[in-house]
Amino acid sequence: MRRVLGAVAVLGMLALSGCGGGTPLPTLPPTPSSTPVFASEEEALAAAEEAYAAYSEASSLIASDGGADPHRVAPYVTEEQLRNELATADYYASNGVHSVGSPVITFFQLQDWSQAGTQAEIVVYVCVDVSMVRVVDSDGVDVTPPDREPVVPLEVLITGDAPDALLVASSEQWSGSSFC
Amino acid sequence: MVRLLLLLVLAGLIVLFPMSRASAVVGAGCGVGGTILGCPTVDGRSSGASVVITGNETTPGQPGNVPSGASGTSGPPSGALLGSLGGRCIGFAIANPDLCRAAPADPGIPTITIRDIATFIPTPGRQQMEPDGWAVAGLDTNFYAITDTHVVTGTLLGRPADVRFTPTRYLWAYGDGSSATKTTKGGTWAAQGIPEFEPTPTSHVYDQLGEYTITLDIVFAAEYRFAGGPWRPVVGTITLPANDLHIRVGTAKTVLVEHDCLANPAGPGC
Repeated sequence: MRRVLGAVAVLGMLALSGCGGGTPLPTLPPTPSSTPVFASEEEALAAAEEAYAAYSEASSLIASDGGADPHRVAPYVTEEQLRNELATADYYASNGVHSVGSPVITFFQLQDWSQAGTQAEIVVYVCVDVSMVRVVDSDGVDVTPPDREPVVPLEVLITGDAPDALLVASSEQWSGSSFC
Repeated sequence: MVRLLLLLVLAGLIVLFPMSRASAVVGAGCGVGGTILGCPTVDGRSSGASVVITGNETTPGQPGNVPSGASGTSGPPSGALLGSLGGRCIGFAIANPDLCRAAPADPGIPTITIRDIATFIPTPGRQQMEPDGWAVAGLDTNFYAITDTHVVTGTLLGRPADVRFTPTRYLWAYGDGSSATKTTKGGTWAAQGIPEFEPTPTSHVYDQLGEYTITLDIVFAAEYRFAGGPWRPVVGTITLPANDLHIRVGTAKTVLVEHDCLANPAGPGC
């Protein structure tokens, strides 16, 4: 009986000391046991840059081929972005035009990144310089849109579950003031 | 018997109510291949809860129909097309090459110059949060969106058409200076089988006490079809705001109480 009382007293003291020491927050829940995709922001940015470069090369290659074989870009994009790429390729093909010259990535900056479980999401600002790229038709006539932006600011979402398995999930023209 | 319970004490009242913002952001989907074309495609705007989708089709390949300033003034059809496309000849829902094609393969698509306005109204998404209406500094707050793929019927180029909107991205601004772009709309802790206050793919941790307004913009991809036809992708996306959440972030205190709330419903914090 005495032992039980003592135990209760100790429990009470522990609880009271917990109350007296300021306002401790409940301990944070443990993080998921799975390994994060990236150990650091630098690692995430580097992997994203590599993934985007591979995507960019495939996308511009399809443009230079007049939209032929557009599924070549599939390994680098998500299903959603693939639909956009296919629609763009279809535009080249149906209008009989292709690009001459290569777009240049002149700016690649991290906007935001996060990872939950095994999935990482990276948002980057990208500037694509197309000033040296022309659009020509099958007769070789330059039909480049006259009001085209020479350097296009984009907001790009890159997702994936491994540093070497990142995919471009969306790419949108930045509508605010250009950061390029 | 003494039980130690966690009692979350929040400073102040919590207010949670929806507010709509006046304007919508419209983003233009544009891959690298699209940048070369000048990111043709998206030209939408929102008025209230509706999205006005405007499209027009240029007369293809007529001599003298090349827009001024376009290259290739000899007037090849593709030159006229690209010129007009660079000038956004085509609006949001019909930002599809098929409708801007010089010689449409589909005889059902008119070749004369037409100009139509179609109004498609996507159902705006909503956002909710857990805990409902309040947050604890230092702990994960679970935000999630309520929206789904849906079809809107209307008129496009004078013909009955369907536009299918699919939410694809969720842009959260948490009001504390941070924001996040997510590809999942998230869900309740219970629905995801995650214990309360643990991280979810869409959760956020506030570091500072205070009042915050959380905004959510939902990016929709779209497809369209004319009656009986196949779904055709629409290049570009449209972004619509969901409701705002106004919350107060408080602290959590640990207090000692006798019995739990089931045994003593009148106890402090119950």
